[in-house]
Parts: sequence; structure tokens; C-alpha cells
Amino acid sequence: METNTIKVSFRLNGSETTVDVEPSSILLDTLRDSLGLTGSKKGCGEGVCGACSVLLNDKVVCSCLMLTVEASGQKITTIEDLLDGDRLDPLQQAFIESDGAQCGFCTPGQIMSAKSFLNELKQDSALEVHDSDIKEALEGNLCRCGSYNGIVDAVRKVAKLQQKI
Amino acid sequence: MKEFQYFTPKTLEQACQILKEREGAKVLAGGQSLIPVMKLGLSDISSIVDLKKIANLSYIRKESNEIAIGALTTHSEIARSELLRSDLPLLSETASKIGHTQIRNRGTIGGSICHADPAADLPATTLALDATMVLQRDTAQRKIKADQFFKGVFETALEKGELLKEIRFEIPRGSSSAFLKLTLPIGGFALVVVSCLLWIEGDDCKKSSIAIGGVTETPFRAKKSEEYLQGHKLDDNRIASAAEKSLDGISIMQGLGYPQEYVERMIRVLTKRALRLALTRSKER
Repeated sequence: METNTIKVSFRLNGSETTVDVEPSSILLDTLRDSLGLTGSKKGCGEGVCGACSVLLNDKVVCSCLMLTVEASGQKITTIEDLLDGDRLDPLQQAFIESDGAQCGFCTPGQIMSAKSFLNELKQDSALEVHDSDIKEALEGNLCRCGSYNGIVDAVRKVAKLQQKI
Repeated sequence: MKEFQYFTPKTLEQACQILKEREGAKVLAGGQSLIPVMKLGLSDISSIVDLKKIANLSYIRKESNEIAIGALTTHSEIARSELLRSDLPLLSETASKIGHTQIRNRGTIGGSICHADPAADLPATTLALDATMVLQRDTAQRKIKADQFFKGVFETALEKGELLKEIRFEIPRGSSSAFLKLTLPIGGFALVVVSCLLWIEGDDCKKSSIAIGGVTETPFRAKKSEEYLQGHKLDDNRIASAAEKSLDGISIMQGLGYPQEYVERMIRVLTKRALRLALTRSKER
């Protein structure tokens, strides 16, 4: 079979990006190997661990389960987008303060899931947030170091600030 | 992953055409089942037909006493829908428990149903709700009920060049429902799923619909349990006895990874719990 490559254009971390890939190319690999965005990690490669989590149109998905071609015309946000020059995102700051990371491997994925959760929360500022909501939102992100308590603390902190509770 | 040709048709007719003409062509919706299968090298796919550039395949609509859901509607959208939470809570409850957040943001009702994994959640619920699948081939449509749609393991009534366009549900007025699943470990594929509805009038169970998945090639209705409940007042004893009958006349699959006696017991336990939950909810209506 002849190799066919496809030009894929998408909005990546605020900029228009174009890559030339084979149909079988996986988005996670494109982000890490072609675009140098190694913040998203390959933990399992089968959509179970969440270490590869990115935002697709502001909603968290596993980039290891997306073909690069599926990103065409879409908005992709990776962990690298959260740092604004020297300024950490409130979530990143909260993770540091609440001990939300040990080895740090799952952390980008945890933060992207939390970002997606907080994005949805924004739509209803009156909504009360319980720890069970946070845990349910992040159930697709595994942490082998067991930093779950710190992670939930961090997300709760930012959620409270956001909901002004 | 083996290389393939990638197509993004703009209409259902175009998609049907490609599927009809090409051997080894598979449909791509959310990819949460297909891509893992392809990565494991378990499939021989030469063409992928991505439906996501086709307009108007993602919607949740109320049409008099029916609800119509487009095949590309995601599990997240279904779980969050206020309309479904009020009129078809069994479906939104089921969708909210599929996989995890990332899977739900991408996976679609059409993809899940057409994949027909015995361990999936939605097939049992479509059976419990007696859903109608709307299939399209070129410009012609046909409708088929859930109990005729699922044929076997990863096998449905879809013919070559045919696509699932929409799933229709009659609103189960006057019912209460519950969806429960047993996954080991938590968040993995289900070993058992129970999806049920109860219609309670006064003190009596007018009728029930109990669908069980995960243990047979296709989900099944626990007819003997339903018969046992019909026309009777539901108390804990009657529910427990009905749950005991859930496997009457049914042989579960071998090789589920756990002892047969354990699986059978879990089916009965989950059925009992689901019926209890639906009964409690009927009192809250």
C-alpha cells in the first residue's frame, strides 16, 4: 500500500499549527515527538491511566486514543499552555502548595482533567463542589505514587476560589 | 499500527458508499473502542471512515412521546442532558458510568452500540428501554428494535454499507429505573450490568423491564423475573425471589475470568439491588 500523508491543521495552545502525518499517527506521539510538547505522557497507551490527557475544545480527552488526523480544525490545549511566561496557573500553584505531586509523571494529566472540570464548573458559579465531584471528574487519572489526597486538596482549593464559596 | 486509508465524508450517503465499495473498511466515531483495538493489532482494517465531519449526527430531541438521539452524541452529553435526566434517566445514568471522564467526552452512543461489546453498558440499557435503531443505507432508512439489533459478540444487524443514524426511545412514563454495574477492578470493563425499569401503580408492579449484560453474547431480558413481579406488590422478599429467577433458562458465557458460581451469584445480587433501587426511586417520584 502506498504511504499517504495528510496535512492536518489545528489550533494548538493558541496558535495555528500544521503537521503532515500518516493516518495511523496518534496525537500523543505527534505532540511529543514532532512538536516537542513532552508534558503529556504515555502511561498506558490504551486510555486507562489518563497521563496523556489534553483538552479537545476545552474538554479533557486521552490523546493516546486520538488519531492526529482527528485533530483537524479542532482546538487542542496541552499542559504547556498553562504557564504564562513566569506565572503559574492557579491550578499549578495549588498542586505545589497541596503536595499534589511526588514523581510528577501523572501530574500534567491530572491538571488537564482538573482544568476541564473547572471549565465546566464555571458555567454554574452557584454550584457547590464536593470532594466526590472532584474524584469523579478525575477518575480517569491514575497516580501510582498515591498523591490523590494532595490532588483533591489542590483542585478543591481552586474550585472554591472560582466558585467564590 | 497497520497503515490505512482515511476518509472524512461530508454526508451519510458518501459514508455508506465508501463502506459498500471498500473491503476492510470500518467506521470511526469517538474511537474509544476502535483505536485500542487497532493499537493492539487485533484488526485488519484497510480503510477508516470518520463520521465526525458529517453534520447533524449529534443531537438529543424530544418528539412528542419519543426521544431521538443522534448516533454521534457523546456519553458526556447524554449524561448531562437535563431533558434525559428528567424523561429518560436510565439512559443518562448508564452513560454517566461508562469508562471515565475522558472516555465519556469522546465515546458516542452510536459507536458503543455498533461495537456491541458484550461487556458494554449501553446495549443492555437500549434493550431495557426497547429502543429503536434507525439504520441508513444510501438514502434508504430502516428501523430495527434493540432485541433484533444485537446478534452476537461484536456483531449487529448492520449490513455492509449501512450505518446507525439515530436511536429512538419511547419515554417510559410512570416508571422508575436503576442501572448498576460490577466492574473488577473499579473502572474496568463490566463483569455484570443490570439495567431495569419498574412501573408501579398504587402498590402493585404493573410491569417491569430487566436487562442484563456482560455475561452472555448479547444482553438479555430476565423474563422470568419480570413475570414473577408482574401484578404483585413489591417487597424485599418478592424482589429477592425475582432476582433468583434472573438466570432461569439462561446459560452464561464460559471464560469470563471468574468462577461460574461467583458470576451467577453476582448477577442475582446486582439484579436484587437494582430492583430495590428502582423501587425506592418510585416512591420518591
